[in-house]
Amino acid sequence: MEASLNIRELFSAWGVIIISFLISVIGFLVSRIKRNVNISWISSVSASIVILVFSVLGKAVEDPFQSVLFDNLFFVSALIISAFSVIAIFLSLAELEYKKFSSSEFFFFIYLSSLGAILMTSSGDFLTLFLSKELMSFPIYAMVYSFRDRIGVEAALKYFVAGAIFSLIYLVGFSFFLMSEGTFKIAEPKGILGLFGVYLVIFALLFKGGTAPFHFWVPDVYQGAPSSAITFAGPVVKFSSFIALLRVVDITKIEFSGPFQILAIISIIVGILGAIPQKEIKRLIAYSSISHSGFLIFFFFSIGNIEVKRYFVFYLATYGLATAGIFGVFSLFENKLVYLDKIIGFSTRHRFISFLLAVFLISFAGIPLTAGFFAKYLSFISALHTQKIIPVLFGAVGSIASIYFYFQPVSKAFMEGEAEKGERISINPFSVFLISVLALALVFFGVFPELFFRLIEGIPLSF
Amino acid sequence: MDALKITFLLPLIGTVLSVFIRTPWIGVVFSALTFISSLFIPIGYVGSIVLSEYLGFKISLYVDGLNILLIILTTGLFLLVFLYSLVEKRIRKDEYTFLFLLLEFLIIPTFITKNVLAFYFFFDAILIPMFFIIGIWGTGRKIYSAYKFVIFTFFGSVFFLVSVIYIASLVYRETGKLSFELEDFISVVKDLGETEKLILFLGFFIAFAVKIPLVPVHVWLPDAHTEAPTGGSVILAGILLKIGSYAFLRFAIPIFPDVVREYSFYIAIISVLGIVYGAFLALAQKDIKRLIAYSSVSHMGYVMLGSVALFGNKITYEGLQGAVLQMVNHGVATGALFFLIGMIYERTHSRMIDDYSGIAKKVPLLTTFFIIFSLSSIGFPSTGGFVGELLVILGAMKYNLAFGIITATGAILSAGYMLYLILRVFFGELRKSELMEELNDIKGIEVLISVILSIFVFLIGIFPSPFMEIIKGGIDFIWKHL
Repeated sequence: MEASLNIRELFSAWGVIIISFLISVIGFLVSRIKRNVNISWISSVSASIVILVFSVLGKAVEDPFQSVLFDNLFFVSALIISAFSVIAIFLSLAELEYKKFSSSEFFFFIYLSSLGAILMTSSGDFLTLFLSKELMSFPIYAMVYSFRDRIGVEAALKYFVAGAIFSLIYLVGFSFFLMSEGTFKIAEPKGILGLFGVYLVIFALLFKGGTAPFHFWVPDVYQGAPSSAITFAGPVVKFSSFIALLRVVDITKIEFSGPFQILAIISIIVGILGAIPQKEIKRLIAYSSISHSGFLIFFFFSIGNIEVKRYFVFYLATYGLATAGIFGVFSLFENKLVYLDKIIGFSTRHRFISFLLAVFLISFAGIPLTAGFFAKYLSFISALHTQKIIPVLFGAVGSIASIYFYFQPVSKAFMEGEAEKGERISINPFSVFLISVLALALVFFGVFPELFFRLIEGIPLSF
Repeated sequence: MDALKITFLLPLIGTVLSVFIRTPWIGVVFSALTFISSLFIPIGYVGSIVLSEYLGFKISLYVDGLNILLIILTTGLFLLVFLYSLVEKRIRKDEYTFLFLLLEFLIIPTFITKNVLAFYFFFDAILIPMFFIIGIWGTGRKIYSAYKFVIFTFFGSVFFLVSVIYIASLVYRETGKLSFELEDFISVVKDLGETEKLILFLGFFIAFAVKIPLVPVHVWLPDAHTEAPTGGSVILAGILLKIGSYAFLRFAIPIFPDVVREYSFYIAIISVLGIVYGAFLALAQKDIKRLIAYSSVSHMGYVMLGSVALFGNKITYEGLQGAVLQMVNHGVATGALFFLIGMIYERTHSRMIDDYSGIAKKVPLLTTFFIIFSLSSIGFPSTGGFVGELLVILGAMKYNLAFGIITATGAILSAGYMLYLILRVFFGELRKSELMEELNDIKGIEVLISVILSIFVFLIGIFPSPFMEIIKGGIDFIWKHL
C-alpha cells in the first residue's frame, strides 16, 4: 500500500493520463517523421501499459476539476480497457503485417480510443461524457475504414453518419438537461425537460452499446472493419458505453426497468433472429452481440443492488474476452469475410485454432466451463432479484435458439470433411499465444469466477 | 485428499495430460485409476470443494446409497469404453480420448454434488463433449443427431436454470447471500404458494424428463443413440440417462415434496406411457441400435414409475429400491448391448436387422453374451433386470393396480421385442453374403468387456441383498422428505 501512496503523490490521476498521452503522441509523430511503424506501436503499447500499471497501483482520488470520477470503478475500467487495447495492438500488428498494410496511425488510434473509453466510463458531467464518447468513436470510424475496401468504406460511412445523428440526439438531450437543471453535472433531474434530456442521452449510449432498436450499424461494422479493429472496438465500445450508461442511470435514478424491459426483449429477439440465417461468421457474431446487449440490460432491473454492479462488470469483461478472442482468430484469416462453407473441415488442418474458435463460441452461448455461463447466470439473477420474469423467459428461449448458430461454425469446422477451397490462415505465434491466453482466461473465470470478483473488489456501492 | 476427491480430480488430470500425451492408453490408465479410487469412496461421505463462495458455487460432496452405485457404474463403464477404444478402428483417437476423459470428469460431479448450481454446471457442460462425440465419430445423420441432442437437452436445462436462479434469488432475499445448497432450497421453497411451486417444479422436471427421457420429449434419444459411436452410445444409455432420474430423486423430490405428491399420478401416467410406447416402437424397428434405444425409453419408464409410486403419503420402499437398482441394471445391460452391437457394426458396417440371419453359428460367443444381456434387459429371473423390474412392479401395484398390470404387460412386450430381435439376427439360416464373410467372433478385450459386464448382471440378479443394503441408505434420504 505504501508504494501506491507514493505513486499517487508523484502523479495525480490526470498527471498519469497526460504522461501516457504524451508518450503515444510523441511516439506517433516520431514514427511518421522517421517512417517507422515500430515506434508507433511501441509507444502506443507503452502508453497503454502506463495506464494499466496506474490502474493497478493507483487509489481513488478526488478530481480537482470535478469532471472525472477517479473512483474504484474508474480503475477497474481502466485496467480492463487498457488490457484490451494492448492485446488489440499486438493482434492488429500481426494482421497488418500479414496483409502488407503499413499504417502507423492504426495503433495510435487504438490508444486514443481507449483513452476516450476510459474517461467515458468515469465522466462526472455530461460534457466530459460527450467529449470522451467522441474521443472514443472518431478513431474507430477511421480504423473501420483503414483497409479502404468497399465494405470497409460502407461500414465506416454508415457508422459515422449514424454516430453523428446519435451525437446530435445526445447534444439535444444534454441541452435540455442544461436548460432545465442549469448544471453540466450528471444529477437527478428535477424538471420534466431534464428527465426527457436524460432519456435522450441514454438512447445515445444505448446506440453505442448496440442495443436494438439502435443496432443497425453493428452487423456492417463488425463485418466491414478489419478483424483486429473489432478485437478492440467490440469489447471496449460495449464496455465503456454500458458502464457510462450504468453511471448515468444510477446517478440520475431514472426508472429503467419498465420500458427497458421491452428494449431487452427486442434486442434478444433481433439479435437471435438476425444471427440464425447468417452465412458469414463475423456478421453472425455481430447479431449475437446485439442479443448480448439485451442480456446486459437485465442488470439494470436491480441497479440499486451493489452486487449487481459487480456482476455487470463480470458480464462485460467476459463478453469482451470472448469477442476479442474470436475476432483475434478471424484476424489470422486471409480473407476479411469468413464464410461458414469455407471453414468446413477446418480442424483437420488447424486443430488448435478451431479449438480456440469453439471455446469462444461456447462462451458466447453461455455453456458451463466457460465464463459465459456465469455471465448468463448473473444476468438472470439480476433480473430475478426484482422478479422480472418475462425478459428472463425471453432470454432463456433466446439462449436455446442461439445454440443453433453458435454451434454452426463448430460443427462445420470439426465434423465435416475438408472443403476443397478452405480458408487460408497465417499463424503468427505471438497472436496465437495471445488468443489462447484469452481462451484460457475464459475457461479459468468459467471455473473460478471468484478470482474475477477479487480483482474488482473495490467497486463502490454508489457513485 | 480422500477417495472421493481423487475420483473427482483424476479424470481432470487425465484430460489435461491427454492433450500432451496422445495415446489412447492415457484414457485406460486414468479411467482405471478413477475406477479403483471410486471403489474406496466411503458411504456417508460429506465434504465440500468451494469454487466460488461469492456466487454460491461449491461442489458440496455427498455420498449415500443413492449415488454410490451410480458413481461406480460411471467409472466402470468409462474404463470399459477406454479399453474398447484400444481395439476399435477410429479416426482421431487422441481427440476421442480427450473428449471421453473430459466427459468422465463432467459426469462424476453430477452424481456427487448436493449443490444445485454445481449440479447444473456439470449437467449442462456435458453437452460440449457429447456434441463433439456424436458429431465427429457418429454415423449417418450424425450432425443432425448431435444438434437434436444438444438443443433438446439445452431446452430442458435452460428452464431448469431459470427455476434454480429464481429460487436462489429468494434465498438471497432471505439470507443476503447467494446459496444453492439443497437445504436452503428446501427451506425456501417450503413456504411458497401452490402455483409458484408447480411452475418452479416444472422447470426442474422438464430438464430431467428430457434427459431420462420421458415420452413426449424422448425424440432426441433414438437419433442420438443410434448415430453415436459405440462408446458414446454406451455412455449415453448407461450413464447420461441416469443423471435425469437420479436428479429427480436427489433434487426434485426433496425440494418439491408436495408437488410430487400432488402430481405423482400424472408423472406415473407419463412413465407407464413410456414403458408401453417405447416397447411398441422397439418392436417396429429395423435398426438394431435403434431398437435398443427405444427399449431404453421403455426401461427408463420403470425407473420413473418406481420413483413416484406412492403408497399412503410416502413413496413405496419397493418402488424406490427398484428404481435405483433398475438404473444400475439398465446401465450395465444396455451399455453391454451397445458394446456388442458396436462390435458387430465394427465388423460389418451394418446395423440393419434384415442384413443378418443365423449368425449364431459364426459368432457363438457374441451370441451368448448378447442373449445374457438381453435376458437382463427383459427382466429374466437370475439376472439383475428381474430384481429391479419386479420391485418396480410391486411398488406400482401398491400404488395403483392398473399401473401394476400395465407395467407387467410392458415387461412381456420387452421380452417380445428382444427375443424377436435375437430370433431374427442370431438364429435361423446363415445367409451367404459379403457381410457375413467379414463377421468373426469377438476376441481379447471384447470378450473381457462382455465377461465383466455379465458378471455384474448375474451378481445383481442372484445376490441382490448387498446392493439392497447399500441402496437402503439412499432411500432414507428420500423418505426424510417424502
